Amino acid sequence: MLTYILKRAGFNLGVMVVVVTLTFFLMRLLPGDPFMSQRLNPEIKENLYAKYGLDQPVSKQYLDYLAALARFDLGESLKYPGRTVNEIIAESFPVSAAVGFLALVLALVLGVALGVLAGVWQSRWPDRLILACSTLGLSIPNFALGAGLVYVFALKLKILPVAMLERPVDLVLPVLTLAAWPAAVITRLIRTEMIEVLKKDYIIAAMVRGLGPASVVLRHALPNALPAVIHYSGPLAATLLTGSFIVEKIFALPGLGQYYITSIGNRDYNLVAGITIFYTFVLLISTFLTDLLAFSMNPQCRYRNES
Amino acid sequence: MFYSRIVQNRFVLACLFLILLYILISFGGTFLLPHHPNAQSLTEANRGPSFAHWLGTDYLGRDLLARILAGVRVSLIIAFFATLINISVGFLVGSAAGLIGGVVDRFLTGLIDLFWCVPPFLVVVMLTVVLEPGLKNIFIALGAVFWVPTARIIRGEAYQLRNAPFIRLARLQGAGYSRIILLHILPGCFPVLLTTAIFSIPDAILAEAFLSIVGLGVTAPDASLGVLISDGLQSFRVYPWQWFFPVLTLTMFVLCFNLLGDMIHRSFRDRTKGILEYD
Repeated sequence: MLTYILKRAGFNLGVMVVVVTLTFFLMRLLPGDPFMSQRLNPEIKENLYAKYGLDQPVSKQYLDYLAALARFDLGESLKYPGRTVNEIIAESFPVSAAVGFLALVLALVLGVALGVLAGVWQSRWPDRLILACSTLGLSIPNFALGAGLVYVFALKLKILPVAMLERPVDLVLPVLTLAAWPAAVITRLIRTEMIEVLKKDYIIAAMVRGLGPASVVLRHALPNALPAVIHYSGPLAATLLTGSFIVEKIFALPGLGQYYITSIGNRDYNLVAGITIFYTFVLLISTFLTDLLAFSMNPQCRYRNES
Repeated sequence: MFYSRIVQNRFVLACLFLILLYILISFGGTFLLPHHPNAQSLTEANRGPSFAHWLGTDYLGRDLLARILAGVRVSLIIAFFATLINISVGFLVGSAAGLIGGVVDRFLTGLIDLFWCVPPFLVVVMLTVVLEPGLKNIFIALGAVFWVPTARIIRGEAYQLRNAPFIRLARLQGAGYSRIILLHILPGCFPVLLTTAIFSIPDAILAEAFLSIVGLGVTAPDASLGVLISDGLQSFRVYPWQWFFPVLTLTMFVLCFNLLGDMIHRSFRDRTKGILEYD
C-alpha cells in the first residue's frame, strides 16, 4: 500500500513537471506578448519586461519559475497589476468550487438513483424512459441548457434570478446546468454495471436465502456497481470544481473558468500557467483520492491500479 | 451481412435519414434560398421569424436560415476532418505500437500517456491560438487531441492480434509491417474505428461550438453553428430565436449521432468495450 502511494506520488510529480514545462513554453510560443493591447512606448514596454523578468533568457525565466513554484508562489499577474496569481485563485476558486461541488453531489445522487432504477427494471418502461432522458442529457450541451433554463425560469416564469450570487437559491440554475451532463453519464454507467452485477451467482444466492429486493439491490448489487462511478468521478470532480467557462459566462459567476480563457487571450503568462498547474493539481489529487476509495472498497481494483 | 442487420433497425434508419438530410440540405439548400448567408441589411436587423425570413434575422439583418445552413456546412466540414485525423492518426499510432512492440511500443505508449495527462482543452485552445483561428486550423487542433484515446484502444486491439495465426502466417510469407497493418489489422479493428468515428463527430461539433463561444471560432463573416450560438448567447434574453434555432439544429444533430453510435456500439458489444467512458 505504502509503496503504491509513493509510486503514485512520484508519477504525479512527473506529470506536474511535464504540464508546467508544456504550458510555460507553449504560452511563450504564442504570437504576441502580454502588453500588446496597450500600445505602449518601447521604453515603457522595456521597463515592464524588466519588472516581470521577461527580458531574461527563457531558460533563466523557466528555472526562476520552477524555483518560485517550489515555494508555492505562482508569480504576479501580468494583466492585473499588483495582484498575484495566488490571490486571484484564492478569490475565484471558492465560487467555482461551491457551484461545482453542489453539481457533483447532485449528479452523483441523481445518476446513481436513476441508474439503479433503470438497471433493476432493465428493458421495461422505467428503463426506457430513464435511458431516453439520459441520452437527451448527453446530447444537450451546457450552453444550450444554461441559456434555456435562464429563459424559461428567469425571464418567462420569473421564479429565479437571471444572474446573481447572493442567496443560495441563485445557485440553482448554474448547478442544474453543470450537473445534467455528468448525471446522464453516471446513470448509464451504473445501469450497465447493475445489469452485469445482477446476473452474478451471489445475487441469486442472496435471493434464494430469502432477502428482500431492496436488500439484494442496495447491499449486494450496488456496492459492486459503484467502483466504475468512483473511477469516473475523479476527473469529473476536478472539471466541475475548477469551473466551466461557459456556465460562468452565462450566469456571470466570478469563477476560475472565466479567468482561464481570458488570460490565454491576454497572454497573461503567469496566470495561464498558474491556473493550469492548479487544475492539474486538483485533477491529480482527486483521481488519487477516488482511486484510494475504490481500492479500499474493492481489493480487486488493486490490480487495475498497479498495472 | 452483419452491417445490413444494423441498418435494418428502424431507429438507426431514422437517424441515418436525418443525418443525410442535414448533409444534403446544408450543401444543396443554400442555392435555393433567396438570401446570401453574409448579406447584411441593417434595416431588417433583429426581426423575428416571418414569411420573408423564416427563422428571423440576426443583429446585422442577415437571414438566420441561410446562416444556419452555411453554419451546418462549416461545422460538418470541421467535424469530418477532425474525425478523419482522429481515426487515421489514432489507428496508425495504435497499430504500430501494438504490432511492432519493443522500443517503438514503449515510445508511442509514452507519447499517448503524456497526451493523456495534459488537459485536452488547454491543447486545443493553445493550438488554435498559435495556428490562428480558421476552419482548417480548428480541425487540426481538434484532431491533435482526439486521436489519443483512439490510439490507446487500437493499440490494445493490435496487441491482441499480434500473435494471431493469420498474422503469423502473413509474417512468414514475408509481409512487412505496413502490409500487415493495412490488410490484416485494419479489417479486424473496423468495428472499433466505426464506433469511434461516429462518437467523434458530435464531440467535434460540440468542441467547435465551445471554441466559438470562447472567441476562437471561424473568422467573420463566415458562420459555423458555434459562431451562431455564440452570437445568439449575447442576445438570447431579447431575441431568443437567434439562440434557439442554431441550438436546436446542433442538439438534433448531436442527438442523432449519439443514438446511431449507441446502436452500433451495442451491436458490436464485446468488441467496442472501453470506447465510451460510460456504458
